Amino acid sequence: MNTTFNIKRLGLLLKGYFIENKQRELTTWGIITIAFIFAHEKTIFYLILFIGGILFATRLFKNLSNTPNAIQYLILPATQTEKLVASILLNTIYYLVMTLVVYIIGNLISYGIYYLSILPSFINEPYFSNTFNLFSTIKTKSVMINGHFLKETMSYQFSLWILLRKFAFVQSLFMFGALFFKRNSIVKTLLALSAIGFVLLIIELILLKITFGTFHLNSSIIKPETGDFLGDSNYFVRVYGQYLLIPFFWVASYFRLTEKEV
Amino acid sequence: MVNVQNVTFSYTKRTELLSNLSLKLEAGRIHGLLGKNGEGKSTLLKLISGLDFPQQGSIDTLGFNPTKRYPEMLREIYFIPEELPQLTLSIENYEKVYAPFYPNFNAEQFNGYLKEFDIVDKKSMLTKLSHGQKKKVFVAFGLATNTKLMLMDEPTNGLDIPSKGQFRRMVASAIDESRCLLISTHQVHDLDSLIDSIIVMEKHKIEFNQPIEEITKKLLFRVADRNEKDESVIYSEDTLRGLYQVCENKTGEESKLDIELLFNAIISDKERIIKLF
Repeated sequence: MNTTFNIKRLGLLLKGYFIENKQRELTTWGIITIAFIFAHEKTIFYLILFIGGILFATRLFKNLSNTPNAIQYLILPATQTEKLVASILLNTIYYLVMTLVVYIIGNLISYGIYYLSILPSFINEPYFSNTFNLFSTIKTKSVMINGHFLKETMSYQFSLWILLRKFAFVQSLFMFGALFFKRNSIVKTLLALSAIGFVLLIIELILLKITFGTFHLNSSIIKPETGDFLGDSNYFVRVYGQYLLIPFFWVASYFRLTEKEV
Repeated sequence: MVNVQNVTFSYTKRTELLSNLSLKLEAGRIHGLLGKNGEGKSTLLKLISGLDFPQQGSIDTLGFNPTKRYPEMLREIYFIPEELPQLTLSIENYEKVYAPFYPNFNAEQFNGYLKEFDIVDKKSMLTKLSHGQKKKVFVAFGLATNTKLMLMDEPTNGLDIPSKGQFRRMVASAIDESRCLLISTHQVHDLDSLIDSIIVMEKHKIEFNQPIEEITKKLLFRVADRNEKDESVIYSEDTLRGLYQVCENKTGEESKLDIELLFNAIISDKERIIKLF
């Protein structure tokens, strides 16, 4: 028997989740589908995806805040890796896929109702085409033209991969928060983030003052010899930071789970 | 089966809950773990099962380091805590979810135990059951897992009078040479005639760990006349029926072990009792 990872045990963990939460899952996704029939805006989609996702991620480890439930969870014959992978699959892949599926279903129903004119005055005109343009967005970007920075507005396709990256980052962060804080993990994670952000900002300002003698500097990376614009440092930090932080929070969550006592 | 060596554990830095504690548990026995409140009985069960980690010393559970929580070890341990988990599952679904993790789980045995406990509807939700009924489900499930090691923390708490007898019968029938049961309890009378080895914790240590046959060979439990003077008496309790005494067994006379009396005797004159073993 594999002591680290066994796909059969992972399957049992996932099956167990769905047996235990069948009723809750059906109700939640039913309500969200109904919400998407009446509200097709992307904002609503992102709100349900991210806010709902955070609630979902923290709920998966709610067991650990209650001693008898924590005993049941920790003593279940599966490795901590299997328990963590099951949680990641549920709070990242499953939740994202389900939100997309019910968004499309909600929009399709809405479209059907509108064009069959059952409730023409009550339901807004559905943005059926927008359902499948969910990932297109308008962005502004700093570019250097003739030695001057200009903001360029551009529309580009927001790929499923980018959405998955952003979502996985948020989920990994709040999953770690749920494992780190015993109670009120969402609020405490947000407070911890604010505190860390504030400390980093102070350090950044001090470094700027020491290095460049100013507190103001834009985020462009410029080649010192030629002055050529190489990119937006904020963008690099944001994108590659997320790629690095997702596995970081997963590994940190693994150690937190491994070291968990009741 | 279980070997605890010089373990020290504390929840806070100031107070040591277990101090240099050592204990060996053998298979084929039902060990009764007795001690006053706050002595660390539940913590010891958690340490053995890997739910808490010792600060010093080592623990060997079924040949594994329990802090690693390897599935190979966990599938051979079933732990029934004093407070039971709140699960939104029916009995039937609890079995469906958890039984596949225990390779020696026997569904027929589980159904038989439930029947003996008068729990007929497996569709009942665990959240709707009373504490006692829920305990019966967990005891039945735990026995049916056929794990090598079973840990029970106050298993008879919440059980009604007939259920306590059923519990004793079931446990007695489920134990075999390969299994080991460790029962932590205050309800010593509930486990009379069930446990065959007694472990007493006092001042955060194991002060006494002996099989029943050894205890009754060395100690005599009797009811004596109030006027009777005997130097072999270690401990006595005045009751309406006379003096309940624990004496040195100098004649090899057989007597029925009174666990409560033994526990009180150990607490009152530990040195003298320990010297006898």
